[in-house]
Formats: sequence, structure tokens, C-alpha cells
Amino acid sequence: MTKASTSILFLVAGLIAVPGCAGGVDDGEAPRSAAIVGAGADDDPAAAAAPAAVRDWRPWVAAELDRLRVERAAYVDEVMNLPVRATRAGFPRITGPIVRDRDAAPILIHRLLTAGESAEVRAAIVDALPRTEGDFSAAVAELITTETDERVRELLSSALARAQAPFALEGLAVGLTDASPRVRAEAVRSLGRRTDGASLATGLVTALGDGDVVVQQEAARALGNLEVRSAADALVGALASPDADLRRHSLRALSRVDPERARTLPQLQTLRSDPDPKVARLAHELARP
Amino acid sequence: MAKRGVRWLLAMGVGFATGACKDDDGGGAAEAGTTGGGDGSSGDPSVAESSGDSLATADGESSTGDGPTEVEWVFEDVYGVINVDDDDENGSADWLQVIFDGEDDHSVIPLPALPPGHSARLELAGDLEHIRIWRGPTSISVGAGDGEFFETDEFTPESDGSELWVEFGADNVAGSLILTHLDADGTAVESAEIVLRSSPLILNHHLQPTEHVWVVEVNAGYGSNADMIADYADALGNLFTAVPGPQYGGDVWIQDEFQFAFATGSQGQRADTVIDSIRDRELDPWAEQAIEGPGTNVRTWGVPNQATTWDAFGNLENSPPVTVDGVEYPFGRVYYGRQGTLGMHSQLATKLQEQGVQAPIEMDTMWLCVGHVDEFSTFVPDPSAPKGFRFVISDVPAAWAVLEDVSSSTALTRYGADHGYPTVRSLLEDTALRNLNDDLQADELDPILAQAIAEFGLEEADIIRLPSLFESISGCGGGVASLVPGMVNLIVAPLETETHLFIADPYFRTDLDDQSSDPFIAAFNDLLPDTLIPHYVDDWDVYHLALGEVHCGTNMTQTPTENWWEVGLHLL
Repeated sequence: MTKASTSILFLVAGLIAVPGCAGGVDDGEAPRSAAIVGAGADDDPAAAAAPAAVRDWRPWVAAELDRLRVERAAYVDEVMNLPVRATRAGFPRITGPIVRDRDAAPILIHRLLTAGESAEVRAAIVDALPRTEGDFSAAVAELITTETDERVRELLSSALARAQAPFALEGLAVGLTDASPRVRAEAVRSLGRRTDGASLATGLVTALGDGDVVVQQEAARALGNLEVRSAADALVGALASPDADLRRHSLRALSRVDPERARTLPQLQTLRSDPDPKVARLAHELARP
Repeated sequence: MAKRGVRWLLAMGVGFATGACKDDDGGGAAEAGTTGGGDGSSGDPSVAESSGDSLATADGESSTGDGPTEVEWVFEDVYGVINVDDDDENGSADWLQVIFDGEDDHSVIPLPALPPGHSARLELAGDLEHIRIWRGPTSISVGAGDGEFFETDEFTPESDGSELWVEFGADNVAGSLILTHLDADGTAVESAEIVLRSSPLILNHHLQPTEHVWVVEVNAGYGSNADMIADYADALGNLFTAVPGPQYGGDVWIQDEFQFAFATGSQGQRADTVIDSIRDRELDPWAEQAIEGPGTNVRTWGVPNQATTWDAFGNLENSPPVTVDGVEYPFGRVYYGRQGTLGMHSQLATKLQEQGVQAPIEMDTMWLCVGHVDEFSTFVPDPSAPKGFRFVISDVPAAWAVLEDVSSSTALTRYGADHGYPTVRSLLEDTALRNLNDDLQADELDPILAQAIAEFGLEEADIIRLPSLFESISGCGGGVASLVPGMVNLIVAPLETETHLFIADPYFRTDLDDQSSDPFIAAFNDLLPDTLIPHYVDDWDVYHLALGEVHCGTNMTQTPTENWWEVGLHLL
């Protein structure tokens, strides 16, 4: 993931059309730092070498495959046949030196589209794309709109955390409205990790009222990470949730969004006696002068 | 109580005849099951009593007129081991067989020679289902038969003395045996009560000497652990074996599939148990194929189709000996991840609780993607420490301190592609990452440390705060795993004269070949006791990127160093 200039962020905010979210930063303040796009920080050689993402990705993938079949035929076969392996948690991943190669990205996308793999393997392929440091942004942003498997869409949402703008935000806007709470939660997490995530602040505030409590929790965390000041009232409202984790994440997010308001919050006294020790401990910390 | 039955032995084709045994008692014995008469001594002031290791003796007056004969009616308590291994390797657990030549898991009670006409009465109380006493290789005296339990027996020992063989069929079961010397008239001369108890199932801790270490060797598209294997082999020599990965589907998580435990007995017995996880991935058959045999059995608790990530044994660890609120735990305290109904399978959790000596502690590991206690904590030996060890716990502020002490422009060769952080600056400037880790410290690690201090009886001087950073894992529901390879997930291998640590190389540097330039290695070395020999091994591709580290990929057997009947009975 690379850091980029704020000028590109504003370009993103102007371009992006977010279904259901009206797009852009809704609280009138710029995010804290740079957005995630192709160019990197001055001292970041790895990031500086990253080319801009290609929007018309299908012909690009086809062209790259043609090139690689000539230049690196064995490598193409290797990536196409690289087996998944079980992580310690049980779900499969594709990792290792073979995929730490930008050329792996078009091959993996090709494999994703053509190899007839199981959903489990396709999810692992998607998960591997960011580790290639290659160009996958537009492909992933589009595929999240057409993918039928929930697990694959969840991993697409996750991969978008390391995708380039504007594609990442386009895809994550779709992820925010996905029918699956797992996908919505992952989209929210990804936004919370992106420095340009506040571009979809309205969607994140909406997610704070999601019907799924995990989505709500992740929305609170993301709003806190992104310091979306306009979310303060919604975060205060979430402090009354029966879910302790949501109360905790909302309180902590509020302390990041508006530290002074968090310190002087009338509810803080009650929260210091919250039945959940983590909530109570946090409230106690915030109440300290 | 049942009359003496032979169904179980007959089913095994053994030519055991109860009547013949009864004949041995000279006809003086009452029918089994009817001879109890209390404890064999109470209410009879003429009967001398001895108990356990006492030195009481009694003079017996023989009613046969042979004159007084002095018999030393003194017996040691029996602390034995479960006998469910397969010493004769016939495919059947030894508990289901008669005593055979080569059987070495039973305990012996020597009986003295008695005057002519005298006999011995046995009365067994306690867990009759899992204790039996033999008075010959095929003759059950009292205890468990085939679904029947015998409480009493009488017989005449051989003229030059006899042996009773005590066998246990379960861990941590107890009974008492009252042995009464009867004269020719059947009158009790003297009684002795003997404690019978089988060893609890005890988990090893990190201070015990290393016996053997295993790692699954792989070389596949996702990477090779050849260098790590070589590091182990160099340090441990013939105490190390590489398990061929292709035979086990490349399942490298050997820590997760098995937990080694032991039982010991006061007559030198040792019965090892491989607790076989219900995880049941490709490595599942390894213990039966490579480890099970005489002296070692493989057992499982839990229901395989109910297995969760918490049933893997990176989520089952044990502290060194500790004293907590004045209570000594000489075998340490077991700890694992479990919160409410989530966590290690209740059958295994219950089994561990029942063992008594290691008083399990449940910790909150729900915040982790994998969910194992070995992802954030361990113990290392330190002879200079107040308790002889240090508790090592992941610590986020210590990691930020490391990062802030190096140039932010430092390129992190391994972190760009695999984690998205090509430089130290990219880590430091990631607000979400900082918040995530700071929150984990406040919400998870600090409470866990507080719990560890309370339940392991620790003090500040006992604690090593190991620089650690975590990251959210894609598709893991918000669960986290180590971002910087988890150095806390280490292996401690104490040898006779030195102790080796095998630790994940954090690769937090530009020049991958220069460990001396790594600030995380430097920080950990500063924290580690000088007596330990650290080996920072390459686990990046094979383990780290698959959400585990060195400990996850290693398993080992260790030598018991304490006798539970000497130091642990207060817990039973």
C-alpha cells in the first residue's frame, strides 16, 4: 500500500460516484493524510515504482498474458497451477515467493476468471492479489459487482484496502451495500484502513446503523480511524447499544473524532460503571483529567 | 458389587479359573462380595493397624500351633500410571489384557510370606472401575473386571511371599486397599491401608529438559523451510527429526495437532500420552504412525465434527512451576483460549480441569484470527529470575518504541509485498494500524497481562514485554495476527548444559542477510536472559504468511522432573 498526495484525493472525491452515499467527503474536511493511489512518498522506493492502475483491465490482462507466455512461459504455468495451502486458521491462502511478483497479478486474474476453480480457491486468489504489488485495482472493483459467492466478495472487499483509487472506492461503495453482512463488514474495515476512506463517510455513518452488529462495530472503528467529525452524533447514539463491543468502539471512535466531547460526555459517568469491563475501563480512562 | 466374574478374561481366551484361586485361600475366605465386614480392622481391638509407609508391625499368633511368627505387614502407597498403551504391540490396549511379560506399567505390592494356614484379605474401595489388583498374571483379585467390580478377596500368599500387581485404567483415579493378615482361624492379625492413585495427565512446561523435537519439512511453491530445519538440526543434533511433509499433505502445523503429556509412577514408570487434537488435518495420523507404541498412547477428547480453531494445541500451553496465593503448582498451570462456550472443546477442557494439578486458566483469545494463546505469550527459563523463568508477552508500545528509534526511511524488504508496508514510515503513518494495535493493547493484552499476573502469581520483575505488532487478516472477521513475525511464538529447548530458543526472524530490516541490523532482534536480545541461546530462524513463507510462526510448526517431548506424589498431592 502506498501513500499519495492529497491532490489526487480531491480528484477522487470529485470523480467518484457512490451509489447510495452521494459520494465525497460529507463533513467538509479533508482526511488527515494522503490517499492511496499509484504514486508513493518520496522516500519510498517500492511505492514510487508502482505504475498507475489500468481502468480497461480485461484487454490489459489479455495482453499481459500474451507477453508473459512468450517471456515467462514456465512462470505462467507455475502461477496458474500454484496450489492453495491451509493457513493455521484453516482457510486457504496463496503465498510465497512465486506471487511476490507484479507479473503474478494478471496471471492470477486470468486464473480467477478462467480456471473454473472452487469458490474457496478463488477467494485465495483474490487474497493473493495485493501481495503481487501488481495491478489488480480495476479488476477487483468490477468483480465485486458480479461475483456470486459471498466468501469471494468478502476477499474482494478486503483486497480493495490495498487497491488504487478511484477503483478502490468504487468497489468499496458497492461492498458497503452488499447483501451479505460479512462483505459489508469487510468493506467497512477496508475503508477504515484507507487514508481516503472518509470519501465514503456517509456510507460509513449509514453502516453504523446497519442491521448487523459486527458491521456496526466496524463502522464505529472506521469512523474513528478516519476521524470523521460529522459522525460524532451517530457515535454518541451508538453508546446506548445493548452490544458492549459497539459501545466500546463507539466511545473510542468518539474520542478520536472529537476528544473534547468524549471527555465531557454526560454518558461517561454511566459508562464507567458499564457491565462490560472493557467499556468501563475505557470510560474510566477518558474521564481522567 | 458383583460376584467374581470371569467373563472378561474368558473372552480373552485366558485360562483363568476363579475356583482355583478360591482354593488357594484354604477355604477360609468368605465368598467375594460378602466378606467386607467394614474396613477389616475397625471394632477389633486385637488387630494392629498400619497405614501407608508406617513402620508398624505386629506379632501374629498362629492358630495352627506353629508358634508366634513375626510378619512385617507394612506397605508403601501406590502411585502408578494409566496402562492404556500397547506394550506388546498386539493392537489392543494393555488395560484390556492380562498381565504379560514385558508389561511395565503396573505397580507391585510385595506381600510377605505368612505362616502356614494364614491368609491375606484384600478390600478395595474407590474407583473400582479403573483400578484392578492382580495376584497372578491372569488372576484378578479385586477391582475392575469385564464390566464387573470386585471389592474383596482372600488368598494364601506363596510360602516365599507373593506380589500383588496394581493396574490403573484411567488418569488421576484413586482408591484405597485394606490388606489384612488373617490367621488360620480367619481372625484378623493386622491390617494396613494403602493409598492407590494413578498419575494425573500432566502437560510439559518450558523448563523441562528436551527429549526430542520435530518439524514438518516442506519445499513447495509457497516456500521452503530448509533453513529452519537446518538451524534446528545444527543446534539439537540427533534430538531433532524432520517429518516428511509430503506424506502429510504439507500440514506444517505440528504444534496444533498434538500435545505431549506424561504420567509417572513411584516405581519408575512413565506413561506418555499424545493428546491428539480433534483438528484432524493432514498430520492427524502422524502420532499413531511415528510415536505411538510401548510407553506411549494416543488419546483424543472432543468431537471431531465440532472442532474449531481453538481445539488446535497452540491454544494449549502450560506455565513453569508457580505459586499463586500461597498455593504451589509444581507442574505449572495450564492455560488456553476459551470464553463462555467459545474456545477449546468442553470435553478436553473438562479433562484438563479434572487432572487437578495444573489448575487450568481460560484466557480471551477471541480477538485473534487463529485464536491461540501461543500468539501472544510464552515462558522462558532464566536462572537469575526470582522464579527461575520470565513470562513473555506481546507488547505494542515496545514495538512503537523500536520503530521510532530507527530511521523512518528504512526500507523493509520483506514487508512491502506481503504486508503493504515498504518502509518504517509507512507503518508509522498508518493511523488505522496504530489505532488497531493501541486498542489491542488496551482491550486485550493489558487485561491478559493482569490476568497472568494474578493467576500465575507474577510480579513485574517476572515479565518481558516483547515488541509486537498485529494486523487485521483478510476475510477473518476482523481477527488479527502478527504483522511483524511473532517472536513470542517461540520454542524453548533446554539441553543439559544450554538452552536454545528458536524464534521467528522478524526481518525488520533492509538487508535480509544481516540479522545484526534488525532492531527487533536487538530489542529482544536485550530483553532475553544471557543464559539463553537465541536462533532467529526464517519462518516467513512457510509459517508467517500462513498465520503461524515457529512454535506453531514445532513439537517436542520433554523429561518430567518432579514426582507428583511428592510435590503435588495437595492439589489432588
